[in-house]
Amino acid sequence: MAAVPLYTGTFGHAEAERLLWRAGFGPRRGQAARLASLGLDGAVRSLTHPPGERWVGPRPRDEKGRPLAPADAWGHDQLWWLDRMVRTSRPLVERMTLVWHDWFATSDAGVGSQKLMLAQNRLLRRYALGSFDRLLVSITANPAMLIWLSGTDNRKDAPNENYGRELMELFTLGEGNGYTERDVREQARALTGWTSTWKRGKGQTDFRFDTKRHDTGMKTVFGKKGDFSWRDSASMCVHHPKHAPFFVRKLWSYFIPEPPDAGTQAGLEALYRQGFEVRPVLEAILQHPALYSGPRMVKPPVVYIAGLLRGLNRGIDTSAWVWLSDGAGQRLFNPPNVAGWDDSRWLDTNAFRGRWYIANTALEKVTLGDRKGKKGPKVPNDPEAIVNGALAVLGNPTIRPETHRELLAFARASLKGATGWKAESYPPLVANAVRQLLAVSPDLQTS
Amino acid sequence: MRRLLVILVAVVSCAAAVPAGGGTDAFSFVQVTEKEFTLTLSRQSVRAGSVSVELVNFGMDNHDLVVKGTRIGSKAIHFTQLDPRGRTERTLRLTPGRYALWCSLSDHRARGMRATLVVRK
Repeated sequence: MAAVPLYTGTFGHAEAERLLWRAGFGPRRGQAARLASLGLDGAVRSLTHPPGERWVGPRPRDEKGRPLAPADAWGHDQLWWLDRMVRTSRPLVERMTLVWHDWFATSDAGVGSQKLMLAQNRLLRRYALGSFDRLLVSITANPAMLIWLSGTDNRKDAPNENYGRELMELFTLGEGNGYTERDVREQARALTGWTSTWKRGKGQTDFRFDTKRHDTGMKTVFGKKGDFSWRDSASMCVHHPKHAPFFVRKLWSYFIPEPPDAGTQAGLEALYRQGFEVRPVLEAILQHPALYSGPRMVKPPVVYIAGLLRGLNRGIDTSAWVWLSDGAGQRLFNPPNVAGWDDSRWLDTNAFRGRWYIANTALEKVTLGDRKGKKGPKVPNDPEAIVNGALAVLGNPTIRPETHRELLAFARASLKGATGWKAESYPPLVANAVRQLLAVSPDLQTS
Repeated sequence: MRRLLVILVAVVSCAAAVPAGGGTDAFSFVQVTEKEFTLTLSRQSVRAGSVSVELVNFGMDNHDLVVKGTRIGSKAIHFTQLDPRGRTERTLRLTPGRYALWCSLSDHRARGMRATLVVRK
């Protein structure tokens, strides 16, 4: 079996920080240093074998101070999940839930029920690091998915190919890779039988498999004949020879921007084929040299938001995050289509403006200066102290020397000639500006 | 005396569904999703007290919402008409009982845009 390369370089603060961003939502204060002290193997194992969940930080509220009602109030489902990202002590579990949400992209715009979307979210979390085979079988029968991809409209007298096609094209094999149009039709037949009941005031409920609605005839899928049912439909995809390569390439792409080399690809496929378990493949990816020495990746908007809040020690206290993350191109529970989000678009000109507003909102509670007649803390007329203060407020993230130089140059230029009354009023303005510039710098937009 | 009692009952019934003016009693949420021609509640019952009723138009036509207690004398509360994809929220003070909800536009109620919300103690 081809061995997967292991990173053997320094695993210090910067490397631990990158690991926490790629495998989670960024470090809390001091967390990168603690993780670095475990060494690479210990650090990765602490993420892939986390202890029981422990919430860190204030409970979430909306801007009126009300507790969240994720199933009953617009946007509260998104705030609920964002809160988990901010307060979780099991960041990789939560990050993988986000990965699966993109992988099996289901949108509330089509489902029309926050309650059903939340139930799907719990399912994705249950299988975050576990068996992909079991995850795929479970998501096939998930009510939100059954609505979204027409599972309950798929009947033996009128097969609907929607889920059968995406099962192969998007979830397990890749477009046109190892299956034919006949396979799509036969899979649709195998997947018949799911139904639900519409109840006034309740919507679609009582999702169940009805054998009377299922096509029990012989089907031919991937060249094999049998009276396949929906479980077989999912399992055959996982055991298809083209699935492991697809799975490895796709999972890898969430953590490392450049594709794996041939040896790494082969090694990861071999690992995965041992039982179709996610955890061992993830551990190999998170210890691969490409994660630590390769190029940076743009943080998805919700990861950026959660990371800012974690660094600022701030909880969810406003529903503004719903429209702010939407403005940056990502609304939880509402991927744009069944293919998920296009992560090559995170930094287009429109989305960047959204990120600017995100940074501004995140920093509003630590804005310096006089407020409502109260005098703010004194800010030294010292560019170096202002830049260091900005870093401290944002949790001391690692930044490149050139970024530090640019921020310092900005602070110096802004404070130049600030004498007399300006000596007291300019520094807080400059400090606020430096914080904003740091928060939207390439260093903090990427990991 | 009897007339006084009737007036008293009428006043209490009218107070059963009124917009809330704030307070520190129990707070619940319920989301009402409308589309052609259904009206779905995110939950079938809430606790009495201040209830945030959020109306979301998931459909392709305009819709509105009326909330009215089933007790005699209950006053109807009208939500503003929404365009498709529109949303609005009002906080109501609801006392225990059953409340009828419906879209009052055209024949929408007759076509299915109605539901019942139970407010429990």
